Amino acid sequence: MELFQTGLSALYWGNVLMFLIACTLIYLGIAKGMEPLLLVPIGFGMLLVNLPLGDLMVSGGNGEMPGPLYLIFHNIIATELVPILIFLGLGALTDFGPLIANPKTLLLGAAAQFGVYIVFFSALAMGFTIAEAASIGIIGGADGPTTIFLSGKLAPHLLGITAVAAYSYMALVPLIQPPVIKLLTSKKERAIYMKPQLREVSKREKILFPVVGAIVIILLVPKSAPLIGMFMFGNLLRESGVTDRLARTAGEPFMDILVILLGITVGASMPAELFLKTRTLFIFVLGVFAFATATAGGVLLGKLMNKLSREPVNPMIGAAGVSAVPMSARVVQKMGQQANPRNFLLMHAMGPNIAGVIGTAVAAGAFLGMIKP
Amino acid sequence: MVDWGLAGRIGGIGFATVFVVLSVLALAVWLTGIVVQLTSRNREAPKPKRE
Repeated sequence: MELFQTGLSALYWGNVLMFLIACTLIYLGIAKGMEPLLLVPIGFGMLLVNLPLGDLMVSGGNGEMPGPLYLIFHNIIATELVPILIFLGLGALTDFGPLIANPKTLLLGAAAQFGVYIVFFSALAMGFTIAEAASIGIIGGADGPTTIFLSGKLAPHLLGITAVAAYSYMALVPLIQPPVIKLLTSKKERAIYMKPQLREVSKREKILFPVVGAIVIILLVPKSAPLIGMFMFGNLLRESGVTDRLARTAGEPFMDILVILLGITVGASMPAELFLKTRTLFIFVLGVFAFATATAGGVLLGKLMNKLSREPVNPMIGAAGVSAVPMSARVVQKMGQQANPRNFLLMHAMGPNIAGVIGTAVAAGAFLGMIKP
Repeated sequence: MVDWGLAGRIGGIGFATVFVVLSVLALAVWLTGIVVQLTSRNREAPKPKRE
């Protein structure tokens, strides 16, 4: 018979370091209000898994039961299921109006995928395989579910790390993006005034968008079907006007359940033994680089659009092309008001922001179409 | 060893695909908007009265 054992005997400096990281995430979520719905569950999951002998994430075997969080992670999260169901909820919550009113902002969402490909090549240069590099690059899309979806298919062993990197950096968008935007734009450019009102989008256009969008995107990139299909389906539930109950359920209680399961298990997939490795740290560095270059790609196309367009375009709205909805749009709104108090850029930034979600799903589909796991 | 030729194709084709798909979608959205606005304008226009 085994004697009772406390966790203290198995505690080492790595666990303590992870407690500090976990507590920082929880602090940022609660005290600073930085994406609390993500950071609080992720931080707490990270804390729990680093308490020794709790066995929440053990894989079981030899007559032992797997840990409860392991069961959730491997049966629900690491499959395609949760990412695509989250996309259903996202679709039900998304108003495509700003994007339909100004379709050229879709190009800003495409430009922001620059970060995905730059980091894909950077990861290859650092010795990662092509499948791993694609999973790391997609962090630059700033889209947690897409990162999990792609990593689960191409590099399941990196899933926990890429997911934590994507979600943590999404929450840290207000810290990562402003220096890049300031570096690439002059004060005069940041102050460019855009009329606050976009054209009114009719109900019929909003209903047609998910149908047209699904047909166009999935025909061109079939492997994006799980993400784009669910995203557009969720949006059709919202806009049809006859399935409000389904849209509410998909976007609120159902989504909340998924976020709880996802947050705590993604955090719990980061034990010290896995996190404190050089490769993991490389991935986190590449993740920041991905966010920064994605922001740069959007801003640079924004500058070009401003030069070519008849109507003035504030290049900062390109930064919202990294998906991170609505954090990056909020960053643009705040910086826009700082540069010119008359400016109200939120709605202009929402177009590229939503386009970024679509762009990242397309980039993931393109990777899947070309890379065999 | 990394096959840089393959990686270049994946990266190049991938990024180009994202641009092409979102450009086609932008065009489709713009055209849909025009068609919807035209049809609703025609519907809203009062029919001429017969003398």
